[in-house]
Formats: sequence, structure tokens, C-alpha cells
Amino acid sequence: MIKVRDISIHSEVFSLGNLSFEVCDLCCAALIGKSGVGKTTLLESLCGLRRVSKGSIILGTRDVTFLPPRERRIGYVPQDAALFPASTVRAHIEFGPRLQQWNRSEINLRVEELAALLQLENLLERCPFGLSGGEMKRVAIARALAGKPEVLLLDEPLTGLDPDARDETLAQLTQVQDSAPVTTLWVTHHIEELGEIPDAVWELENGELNLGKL
Amino acid sequence: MGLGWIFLLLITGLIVSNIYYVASEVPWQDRGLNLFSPQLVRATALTLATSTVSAILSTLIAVPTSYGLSRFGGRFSRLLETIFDIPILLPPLVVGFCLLLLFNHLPFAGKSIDAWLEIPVTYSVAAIILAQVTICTSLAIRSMKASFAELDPRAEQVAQTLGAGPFEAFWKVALPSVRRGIFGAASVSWARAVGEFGPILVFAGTFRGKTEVLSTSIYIEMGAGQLENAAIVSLIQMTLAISVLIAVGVLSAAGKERF
Repeated sequence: MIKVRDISIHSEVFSLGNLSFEVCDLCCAALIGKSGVGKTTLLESLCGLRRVSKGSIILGTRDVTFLPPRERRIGYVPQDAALFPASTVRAHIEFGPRLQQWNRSEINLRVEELAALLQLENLLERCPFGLSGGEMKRVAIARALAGKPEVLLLDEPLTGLDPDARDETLAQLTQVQDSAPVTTLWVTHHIEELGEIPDAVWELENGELNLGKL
Repeated sequence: MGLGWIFLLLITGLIVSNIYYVASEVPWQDRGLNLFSPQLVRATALTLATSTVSAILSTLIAVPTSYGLSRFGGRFSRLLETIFDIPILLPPLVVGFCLLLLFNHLPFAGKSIDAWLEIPVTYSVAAIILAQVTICTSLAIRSMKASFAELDPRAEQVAQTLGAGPFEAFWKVALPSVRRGIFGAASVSWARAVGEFGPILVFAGTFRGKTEVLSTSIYIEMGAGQLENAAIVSLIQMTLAISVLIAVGVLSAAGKERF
């Protein structure tokens, strides 16, 4: 569950005030809005990468408002994928589970499972340099899901992909939600690109958050 | 581009003139004797040892410092950057002279630093290393800052959302990503340390068999009118510098293939 209550965020460019919304357990909600309205800023606040000046954020059953990012148990897929330049695809997927001190066999099993789900089997020993945009996004999704987070936060995961890669990534995200559902907040410009995935839509406009239409 | 060719000619001329002088002016039998003379062997060993220690120390200081500068911007960072640049902007002799004053004439609780230390730093091997580190760290910070500036901090932020603390994000994500930069900074520091002269001359002195390194060797030999010996020392330094350039080039190419 994601429960945001009256949070205010001040960035260098703009302020967002008194935002509240809720995403029910294992549901997928979309957060839509034009460029520059503060979607990414809001997502970064949920991640703990940006401070909120007031209000509270509850992820799962815990109030994480004042917790650092590492203690929030989230999976975050930034818009630009932000892969680790010197790590292989396998190392990306192993990153979270290793930090959580899973044992070797559990890590290997998770890598195989996600590589199969996101069609990364042939890329596991490759570094990010030379991967296509779609492959990079899939690696970022696998990395975010590997540690079995309570909440998945996707920042425009389909933006910048060609139509084929977009369809493929969307199909894989649908498959992820079907096989092992996780509470998801999906930030996007275009609601139509999400197909039938979202259970709810929130629209951010002029600093206000309203429940939109599916 | 025309001026570039003239500069290329000038560099080629520097190398060729040194080789030509050794080949034409130093008798065959003397070359071996000069090359393996005890003082030159000792000066070479001391140069390699001090330069290696200095390069390691400079890199160890430069990596976390430049990371901090690149990640925590603001006026204070800019002020620090300017201060860290001072040793490479000052004339090298001034750096050496100021080190001499710092260790011998600036009182701390009534005594100079050298008076506090049981083994004085001035005119010792430690002075060579300190003089080299002072200059090389500035260079290494500049070099590493450029590497970290190219690295998107977003990757470290993502690492933190996956469970890493700020230090783990630096250690496991940022550091491996700039390993070529680290190697480059260490190489530049090492090459600069090998050629450092001014601060060593003033702060460590040129005591034969004690603080004589290759760069001060040339000065001693020229002062004694031994141009043949100076040319051989110069050739050794040139070989070391070119070897570093080749090693950096080869390893950079290997790194590019890997990523």
C-alpha cells in the first residue's frame, strides 16, 4: 500500500503542497500529468531522495516519511534507467539481494527467474554500454524487482522507446504484475500507453492531485 | 593545424637531441659505467620508490576529495576547489620554499614542526615524498573531479533505494565506474612525481646518496659540468615518461573494449 497524506515538497523550481493519495495493496496506480508539473519530484519524495516539508508517507505498513532511501524497501525505475556503468546485467540484478544478504542459491534463483521474465538471459554478462534503450529499461526493472520490494515506483518506463520496444516492455510489465503482483505507482505522460494495467489514475495538474478517469 | 605540426617537430626534436647527444658524445664504454654507477642506480631507485608512494598517496587523497567536491556543490566546494589548485598554480620553487618555512619557521606551541618531530622531515626522503604529494594531489584532484563530473549521480541514488548506504553507493557504484579515471590520475601523478624538481631542490636538498633523485641528478651533473652524465639521466627520465604514456594508452584501450 502507498498512503500519502498532505505532503508538501519544495524544489528549486516549484512547490507542491498538500498532496494526498492512496494506492491499495498490490494495486497499480498511474500518476499522469504534463512535463514539469512535478511527477518525478513526487516520485523522488516517495523514494526518500527528496525531503518533504510536511505530511506523511506510508509504504506497506510503515511510516517512511523520515527514513533514508535504503530503509524504504522500494524498487525504483528512473526515467533514464540510471544503470551502473561498470556492472554487468547479472550484477545489477544481484545488487539488492546481495545487500539484503540473501544466500548464493537464492540470489542465483532470483537472477534466473527475472532474466527469464524480462528476457535478459543472453545479456547477463554484458555491461550497460551498447544495450538498446528497451534492454536498459528491462535491466532497470529487473534490478528494482530483484530484492522483492513492497512498492514499485516506475518513472516513465516506456518513454524514449521505439514502438516495438514499448510494446515488448509493456507486455513484460503486465506479465510481472500478473506473476508476482506488487503495489505499483507508474508515472507517465500518456495514460493510453498503460493499456489495462492501472487500477486507478491520479492526475497532477497545477500543483493539485485529482483522481482521474480510467 | 600548421602550428600543431611545428609543436610536434619541437617535441620530436627534444627526444632526438637527447638520444643523439648520448649516441655521439658519450663513449660506448662509459655509457654502461654511467648507467650503472652506484649514485645513478640509487637515484633511480629512490625516484621510482618515492614517485610510487606519492602517486598512491595522492590518489588516495584525491578520490574521496574529488567525489565530495563533485557531489556536494555550492560556494564552499568552489572555494575548496580553488584552494586545492594553489599548489599547481604556484611556481614549484615557491611550493618548496613554503614547505621549508612551514616545517622550520612556523611555531606550534613555541617550536617548529621539525623540532617537534624526533626525525626532522626537511632534507630527508620524507621531504621528497611530501613535496611530490603536495603538487601531485592537486593534479590528481583535478583529474578525478572530471571523472566524477561525468558520472550521473542518479545511479548512486538508485543504489540507495536498493538498500545501499551512501558509502556503499560510492564504493560499489561510483568507484568501479571511474576506475579508468583513477588509473589515469595515478599515472599522471606518478609521471609528475618522477619529473618534480623545484620543491624537492628547496625542501629535500640535493644530497648525493641521500636525497638525490633523477631530476636533481641532472642539476648536480650539469653543475659539475658532466653533460654526458646529465644526458644519460635525462634519457632515463624520458624513457620512464614515455613508458607511462604507453601504459596509460594500452590500458585505456583495453578498458574501452571492456565497456
